[in-house]
Amino acid sequence: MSKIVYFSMQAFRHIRRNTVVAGVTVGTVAIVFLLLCVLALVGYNLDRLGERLKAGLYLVVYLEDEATEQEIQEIKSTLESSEVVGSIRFIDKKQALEIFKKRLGAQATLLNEVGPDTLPSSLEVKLSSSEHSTKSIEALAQKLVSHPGIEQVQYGQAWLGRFFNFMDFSRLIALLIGALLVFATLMIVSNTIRLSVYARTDEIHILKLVGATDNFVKAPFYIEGVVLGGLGALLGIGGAWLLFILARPLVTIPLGPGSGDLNLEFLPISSVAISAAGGAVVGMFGTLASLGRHLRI
Amino acid sequence: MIQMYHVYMSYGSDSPGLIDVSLRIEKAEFAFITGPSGAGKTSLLRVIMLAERSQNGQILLFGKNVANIKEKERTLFRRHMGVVFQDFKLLPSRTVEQNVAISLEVLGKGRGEIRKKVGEVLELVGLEHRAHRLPPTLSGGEQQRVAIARAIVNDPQILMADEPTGNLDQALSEEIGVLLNRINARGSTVVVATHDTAWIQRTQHRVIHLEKGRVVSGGMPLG
Ligand SMILES: Nc1ncnc2c1ncn2[C@@H]1O[C@H](COP(=O)(O)OP(=O)(O)OP(=O)(O)O)[C@@H](O)[C@H]1O
Ligand SMILES: [Mg+2]
Repeated sequence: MSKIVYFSMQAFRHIRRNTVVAGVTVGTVAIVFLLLCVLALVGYNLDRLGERLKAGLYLVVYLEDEATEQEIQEIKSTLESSEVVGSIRFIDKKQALEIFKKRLGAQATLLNEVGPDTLPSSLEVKLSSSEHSTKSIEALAQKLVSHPGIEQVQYGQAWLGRFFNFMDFSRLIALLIGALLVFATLMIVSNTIRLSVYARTDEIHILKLVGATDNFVKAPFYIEGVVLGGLGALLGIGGAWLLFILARPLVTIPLGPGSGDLNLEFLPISSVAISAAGGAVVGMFGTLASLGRHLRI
Repeated sequence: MIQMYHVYMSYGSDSPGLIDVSLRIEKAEFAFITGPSGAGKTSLLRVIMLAERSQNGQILLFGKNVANIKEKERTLFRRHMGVVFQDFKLLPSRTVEQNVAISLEVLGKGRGEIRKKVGEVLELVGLEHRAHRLPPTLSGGEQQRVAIARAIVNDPQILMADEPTGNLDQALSEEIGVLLNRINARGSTVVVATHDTAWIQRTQHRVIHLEKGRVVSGGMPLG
């Protein structure tokens, strides 16, 4: 215990001795972690958007006016046999017009002159869960098109598939950028510790001469690295949180009628904790990278 | 205490440090190492303090062979050897007290014990009134006494000094000589490398004479 106090005191002595270098290091680490957090924040919220959009996925099968009762039954049984499908609702021409009127709201009077036959009847299909990939929904739609009695199959947000492809791709790029940034931080901390070691060559020689073990000499440098890395990470996360507070009122994504809006959300507390710990770990490895062969006398 | 048999050490092919050095220094003995500049005095001390590896021959410290020991064991051996240099090697930003305390801190001693031992040893070297000063504000003789205090505070069995009076005038040199005699009288083996013939002649101690890396006389104890 008293050793930890002793090592920490040495580490803070190092930092106080060279506040400029320590400050620049913490600042640089903070900027890197700010970037990482913003990246993670954007990704996290896009993921949430994706989930919400998926939940709102549906399939509408518009029927031909001439479709026979039997054809409609066949379509229904095709739908029911698919595991993608949750519930099916038949909407006849009259209901379709009602729904349309409701959606128009104040402008509904526009439809006064429109006859009840204008809109086709349809089968509205809700999906069984939001877990299904957009591919399996697309496959179902393809299968239905060839059915007799169907005028058109529409599945909401057909672009969602492309959205998810884009997300997968972005995730990969973000991971790469993140790894590069983390590596850069490691090098920065490593460099600072190296300077700190050079500044203490005499002290290290003396410590070794009076019988200090390598670990005794190295411990304060590890604490120094961990403190610089951890502090930088905390500052970066704090900065990202400030940006988030500023950006939140400016960004709301309407998800369309009935689904409400999507508001920005900050990273979950577990991710924040992991990032902060990550800063400390990066500091530790930065120290590891710079120590090693410097301690011979 | 220190035994060397046919020890060779070189800093590279063109710069032999020690050539076929054999010598023995007994427990509680006071021995001078002397010889012209470049003779290998510092090299010999560095080999004994395990700061330099010998390429050939056998070295026994406290009866144990140290030819091929690991870093960890070197550290343990160093804890039984105190070292003093011509240029003091004090940390300028730490007080006298803190400089001396280093030797005990690396051993993981508690604060109370450190304070007590540092106080005692500063008294022994006559610097108790300088405990809170920074080394650059002290005279050369005082700084050297701080370095000696640091070297002996952990009660080492061997005290080695490399030209401890090299930067000091006659009066201060004599002071250091008296202090080292006193430490020797308390039972420590003392090995001093020096050019200072006046000092050597003032004493009855054994003189190991080096020239061009070889021992030319005094390698074995008298009698
Ligand atoms: N680090 C080194 N690298 C290469 N050669 C060295 C090194 N240290 C000493 N030497 C060489 O080894 C030889 C012995 O040097 P050493 O320092 O042991 O002599 P010395 O007797 O202590 O001399 P002085 O009285 O000047 O201190 C010299 O020729 C010196 O040039
Ligand atoms: Mg020398």
